[in-house]
Amino acid sequence: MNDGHGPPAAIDVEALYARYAPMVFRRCKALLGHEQEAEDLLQDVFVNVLRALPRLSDRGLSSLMYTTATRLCLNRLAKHGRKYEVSQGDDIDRFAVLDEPAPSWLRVYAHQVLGTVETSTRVMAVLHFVDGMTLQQVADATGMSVSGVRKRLRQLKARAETLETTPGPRQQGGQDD
Amino acid sequence: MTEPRRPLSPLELEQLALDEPGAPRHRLDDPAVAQQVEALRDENRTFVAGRDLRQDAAALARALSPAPPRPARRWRWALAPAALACAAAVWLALPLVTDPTGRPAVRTKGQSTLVAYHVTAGGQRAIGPDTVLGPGDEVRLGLTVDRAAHVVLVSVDGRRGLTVHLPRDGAGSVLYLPGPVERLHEAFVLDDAPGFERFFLVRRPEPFLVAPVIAQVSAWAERTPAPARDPLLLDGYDVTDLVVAKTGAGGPR
Repeated sequence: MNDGHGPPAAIDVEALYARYAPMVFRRCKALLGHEQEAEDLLQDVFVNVLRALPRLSDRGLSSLMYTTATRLCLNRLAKHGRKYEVSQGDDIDRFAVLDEPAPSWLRVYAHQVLGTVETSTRVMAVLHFVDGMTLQQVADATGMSVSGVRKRLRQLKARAETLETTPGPRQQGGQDD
Repeated sequence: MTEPRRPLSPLELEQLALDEPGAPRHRLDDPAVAQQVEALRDENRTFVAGRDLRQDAAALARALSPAPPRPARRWRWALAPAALACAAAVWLALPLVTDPTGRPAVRTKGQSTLVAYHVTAGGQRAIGPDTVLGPGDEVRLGLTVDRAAHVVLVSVDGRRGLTVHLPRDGAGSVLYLPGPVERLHEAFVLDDAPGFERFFLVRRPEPFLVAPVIAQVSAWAERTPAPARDPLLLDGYDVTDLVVAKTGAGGPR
């Protein structure tokens, strides 16, 4: 790895893998709910990140690995028409300490809402509403501005509220970016 | 009344477990957080211990290497004369490659760059051909490759002694990907071996064991008349070299 500033140089891939693979695997397993699927996606995450390395600036590698894993998992779920489900173990109360009011609609409408927006917004929603990251942290992790993240999440919330007041079958499947 | 602390996100916990720069280390004063982080570290160790990292890295390198473009079917016969010419050229070149007195001092197929830096209190300076260092001087190495390659980095000194710089530990080569010059983590201090320290970056597209390379380089260093400049030819490997001149015995021979 490089010394911490500027784009990473040539990479000791084995060391990189030893350092980040456990985290990536854990993240994929948490989102996909299947060990084998997480294993399948592990290499894809590294390929995506390593291909992007020459273009990177100062974004932390752990953050990039984590966000990439999240994006690829959500893409995979959408591709197979599956839903991301907030598990029973997740503490909904923790949303109350975030920058936005607790989205009580999230658990019920998560898959309908997230299925209709582009992947980057889905990633932001999961990082913020599910992982409990602040808007600033989401912005850092996704390379967007805080105001950009806030705008996307507000749009998402507005869409959710529309869905909430419009009963009936939901459209499934979003765009991948 | 104190504000309740915001719960850490899973990413922040991961960053603490990895001891990443920017991780919220001050939160480790909370025993519950410290316990979660330790549990993640345990899980990481178990995960790594249960895998063949060399195999994982090799699979990753294969996935990253673009497949060579295949010519359209109608062009294949048209390419036959060129292929024959290439084969003939390779056949003609082989004796040169295996000849221990062959002209090219460095055999390079792909492009590797090896750079040495003199580490001083004032910073790090690339070592040029006119630089002469002495015992106690600190040197740091940098390297870059033009395509995914497995590498081993060794050096031979004026007493024909061999040092392995890469891998830092382990029995196998290290996979590197293209990028700007990568400086190795650790600098090292030159000893009092006189004349020179010559570095060899040995590379191959596939993973390889360090031991046979060390054996070949040691054998070469023992028998070659002028280890500071004689070519090192390792069958099946590409070699790039760099000589750092040292005081004593009249510099590199």
